[in-house]
Amino acid sequence: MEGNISFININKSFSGKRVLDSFNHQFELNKVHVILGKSGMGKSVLLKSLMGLIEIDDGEILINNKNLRSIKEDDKFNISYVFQFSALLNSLSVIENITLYLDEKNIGSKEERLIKANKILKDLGLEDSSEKIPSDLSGGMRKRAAIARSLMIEPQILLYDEPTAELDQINTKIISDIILDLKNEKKITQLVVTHDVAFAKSIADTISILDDGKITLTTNKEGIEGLNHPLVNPLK
Amino acid sequence: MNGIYNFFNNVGKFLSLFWETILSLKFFSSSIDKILSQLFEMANRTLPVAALISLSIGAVLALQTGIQLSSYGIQDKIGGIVGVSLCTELAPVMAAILMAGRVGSSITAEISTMSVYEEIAALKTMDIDPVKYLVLPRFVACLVALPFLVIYMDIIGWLGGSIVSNLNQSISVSFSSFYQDLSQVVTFADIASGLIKAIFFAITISITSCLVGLITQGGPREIGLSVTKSVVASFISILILDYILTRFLILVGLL
Repeated sequence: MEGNISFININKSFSGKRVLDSFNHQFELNKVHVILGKSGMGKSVLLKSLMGLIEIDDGEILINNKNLRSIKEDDKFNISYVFQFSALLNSLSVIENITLYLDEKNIGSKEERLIKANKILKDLGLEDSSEKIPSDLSGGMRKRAAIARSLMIEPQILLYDEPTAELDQINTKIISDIILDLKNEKKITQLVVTHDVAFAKSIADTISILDDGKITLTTNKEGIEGLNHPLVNPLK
Repeated sequence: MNGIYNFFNNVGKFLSLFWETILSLKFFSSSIDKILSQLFEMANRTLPVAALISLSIGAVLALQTGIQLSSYGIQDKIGGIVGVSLCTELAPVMAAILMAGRVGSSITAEISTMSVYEEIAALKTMDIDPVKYLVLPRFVACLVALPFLVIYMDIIGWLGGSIVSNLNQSISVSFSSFYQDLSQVVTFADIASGLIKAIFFAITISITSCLVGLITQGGPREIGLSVTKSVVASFISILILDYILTRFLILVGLL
């Protein structure tokens, strides 16, 4: 699907503190967009408002000029979210977490759900962990299981909140490969919020810097190289 | 002023969650598995302790009352007194307090952990309603379990009373005399009034425990605080509701 996600004059405050301040930006669909920013600058709030987890005070979020509710209902447009700490349900096994959406919505037969879930788990290298409970997985495996759960919804947009938080370099590389595969093979639009500049450079089509509730700069991965910004080059 | 605002705010949230839960009852049939699993867990947590508590209450009640009655030579009335006290007041209140302590606390701990670790938000991202997924099974299970627990405690409490009445030499009432008096005095209305109380207590405990869990924010410390808050709120609500329901049941002639 061609088009874009438009944030128009978005305001959001918490206890009188404005986190998003007349936020205006467009993200092109089918690309990987990375949002860099310090803690408390509104990165997660931005993603959660797009996901519908947080209600914005003012403004509008449009996808191809349609509001979120109508595009989700009329065009079966799905948005999914990978949480910073994975947020897998600890009372369920990995496979139960993955099939939860289809089970609760009663989509397909039990066998079809399992075939679909096992294929996604295999693609993400988790086929041997399907019966484990999330607390028995490593951080990287939990993150991959969270991505697998998000993919069961067949999203057109996938949002990641700090996907490499607490991951080592090997797991960070695995996550960036997954993000690139999802872009190239499934054409999923991905918005990634992170602190990790090297990770951002490895996956991004565009990199935006969020500061004080506004995007202050947007560039591509080449453009970020020579940038004299404390987030990108903290020692300069 | 702040306290009054918080009180009405919490009452509003309670009523709102209760109403949402009532509306989600249309998903009852698709939630049977989860309800049965909750019922099994509730039975597991409460039945052994409930037996111990009711046996002990029945026994102590019979001992204290029986000795007093025997000094007037009317100890054969012990069955009715133990029977009515247990089924109209002691069993429903003790069962509710046990349910709030053993089950309500674990419901709050589980749901508040899910809130703090964003599992509830994850459910929302999958368009899964937390009320339908989490609250409904616990609400229905509580609503079924508590009246059964009350009957279970009635029976075991009566048994405890009859054993003490029979074995204690100062009382010395035979099992047959005990149960004969009990069956003459305890009416269907007495048992029904205990069950009516149990239904209201079950609503209070399940909704309070789930609500406190759902609104928990922060970290591990807040989970602990939420559990305490939920148990204390349930205890206070049970005691206040007990008085109001007793007045109401007297008014309608059930007591």
